[in-house]
Amino acid sequence: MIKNETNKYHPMAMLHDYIHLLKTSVPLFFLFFVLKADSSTWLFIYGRYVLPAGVIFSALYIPLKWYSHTYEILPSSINVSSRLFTTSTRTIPYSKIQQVKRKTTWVHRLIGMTSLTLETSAKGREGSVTFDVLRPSEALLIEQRVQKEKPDPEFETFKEEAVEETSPGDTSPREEIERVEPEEPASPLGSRNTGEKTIHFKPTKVDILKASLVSLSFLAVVPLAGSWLSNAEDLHFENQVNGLFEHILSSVWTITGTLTFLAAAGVVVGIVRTYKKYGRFELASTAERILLTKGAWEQDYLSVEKENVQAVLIEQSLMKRLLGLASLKLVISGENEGEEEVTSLYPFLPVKRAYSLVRDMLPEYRVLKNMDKLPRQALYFRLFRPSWLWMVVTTGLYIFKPAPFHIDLPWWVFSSVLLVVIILSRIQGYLHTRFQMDDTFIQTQTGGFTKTLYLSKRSKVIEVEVSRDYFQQKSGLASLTLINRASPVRETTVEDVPAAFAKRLKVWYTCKGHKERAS
Amino acid sequence: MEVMMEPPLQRLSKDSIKVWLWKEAIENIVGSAVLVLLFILDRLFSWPVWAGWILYGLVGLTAVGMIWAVFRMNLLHKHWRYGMNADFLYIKSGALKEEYKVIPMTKVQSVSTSEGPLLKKYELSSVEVSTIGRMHVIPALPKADAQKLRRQIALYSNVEVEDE
Repeated sequence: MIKNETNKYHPMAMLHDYIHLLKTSVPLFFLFFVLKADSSTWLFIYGRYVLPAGVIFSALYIPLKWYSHTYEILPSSINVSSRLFTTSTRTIPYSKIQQVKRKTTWVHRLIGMTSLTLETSAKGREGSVTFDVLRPSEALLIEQRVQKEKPDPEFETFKEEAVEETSPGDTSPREEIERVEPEEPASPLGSRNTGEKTIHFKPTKVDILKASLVSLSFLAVVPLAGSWLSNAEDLHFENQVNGLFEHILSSVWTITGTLTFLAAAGVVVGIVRTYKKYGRFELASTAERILLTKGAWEQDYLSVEKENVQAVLIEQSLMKRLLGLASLKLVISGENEGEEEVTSLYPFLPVKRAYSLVRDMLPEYRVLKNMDKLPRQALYFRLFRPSWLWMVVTTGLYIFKPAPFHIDLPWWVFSSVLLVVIILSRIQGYLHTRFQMDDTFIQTQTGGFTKTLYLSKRSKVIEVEVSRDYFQQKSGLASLTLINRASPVRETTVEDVPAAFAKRLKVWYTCKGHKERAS
Repeated sequence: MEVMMEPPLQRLSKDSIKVWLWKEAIENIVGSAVLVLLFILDRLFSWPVWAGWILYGLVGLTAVGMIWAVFRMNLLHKHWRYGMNADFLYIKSGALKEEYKVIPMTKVQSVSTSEGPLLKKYELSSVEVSTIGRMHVIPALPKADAQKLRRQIALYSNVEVEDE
């Protein structure tokens, strides 16, 4: 079904807008008419007239907007027009679209629709087009058209994927690698293998369980319970609360019981939260793109062109290091406002799996072995460098002598603890720092308690900076900064590498062949 | 794999020191005027004692700054280098903290020259090169050199754009 005529948005878009209006206005009504009902501040007095008027106006505007806004899916571009008071038409060529995002919330599922956002490289509001409510078939059509602009068309696979996505009861068996062969050659351009979609990673139930324990999100219960208790105090139940505490603390059994209950509740909350986010997670790729589906009930769909991947990050916090897990992230170029510069793929991967995923997903990337370590003097150098954080905090402690949580200890105890933490972090930083490069790749590892492995290609590094302060000049060390495109740029700094390596970096970066890279 | 030779690195105009000294002098005159004004206010409205201490501290810092400035200007000039070839722009600066930047011509978004009243006095220009999200300045070049550099960078970065 190819439509080239002007289309109105789906009528359900009105429902979507009404739900949105309801969501935003109900809290305001609550504030103006319930919480601050007695307030005689001018803001609230006038607000009580302006708010209903605004809501009525918006409610009337929604059908008008639906009536006057149209879109056209043309073979090479999308036209979006509005003819209300002034007529305007925007044309977005498929070739300018950098990212296609699809989001299916529970409302969309209920009415069998989806939403689609097309991101271009332009800045600000004009940079993206959002279809709040769209038939999945149309979303698919647009996606196909965007794909068509690329050298290797993949529509057949996208169809497969859409079928899989739109059937909610779908429980496809988990497979390490699942190949979906296109049924017919999509176009004479497409070679046999380019169109297929490979599923790289789908977490099993065990993975989800592990992830929910690692994320420690069950600890969220503690502040929740705390705030509940303090709220209870606010409501003049002091006696009861005190009584409750006394009752709980009165015997070992009740303490254990309460703690067990809280811990169990925490684990359940953690599992539910993790499941909500990664329940039907799927990481797949075609020859050209990385496809990411997130969320159990509300599905987020993201498709990123591999060419736009500027760097790969493998991050391990202290907790994840202990459990041998890592999180895999991509630095993606794009100037979408409010968009984070780093896209996290999956935060709880076994380390080896993370490496193999990089290989499978981005065959152009390699993980180099045998990275160089820092020379010994870098450690002394790092240990003796003054810590501004420690100085400021210590001065603050000396002047104000705070006693947080009624812990009555002299100020220098906190200061020493901080010093020990800083020293530990610096030693770890020394041990973690590694660096290496080959013909076209560069790889660095940095970080104290959280260690981060950074992988990039020469063609993706847009600037290189080497700096040496006075002491580094004397001891033959240097600091490197590698700059990648993100939104707008991301800097990666490695400190105290041998000056010889910095020199090698300069030569590596300025070597011929650099010109042949894509921008 | 052929390695691009690093181009000979060039210096800034010798007059850059004079420009910086003038700038420093003007800044110090304004700063001292403000300090004097503050001292007068201090007397008139009998501010608390610690305000006086802070003012004396500022006087001390300004004095140290003036002496240091003379050395700093010379060091800055002595250590500033720039150079380029068809593919890269190189900028090296700083004595105590040395920085070396390598900027590919293909990543240059725009290049411009500008001259303030002080630079004009000595017939100098500064060249501003902006890349994605960053800006690099080569201060105080003789006007003709600056314009030549600007045209060269524009040419090299444009040629690359057309090639892509």
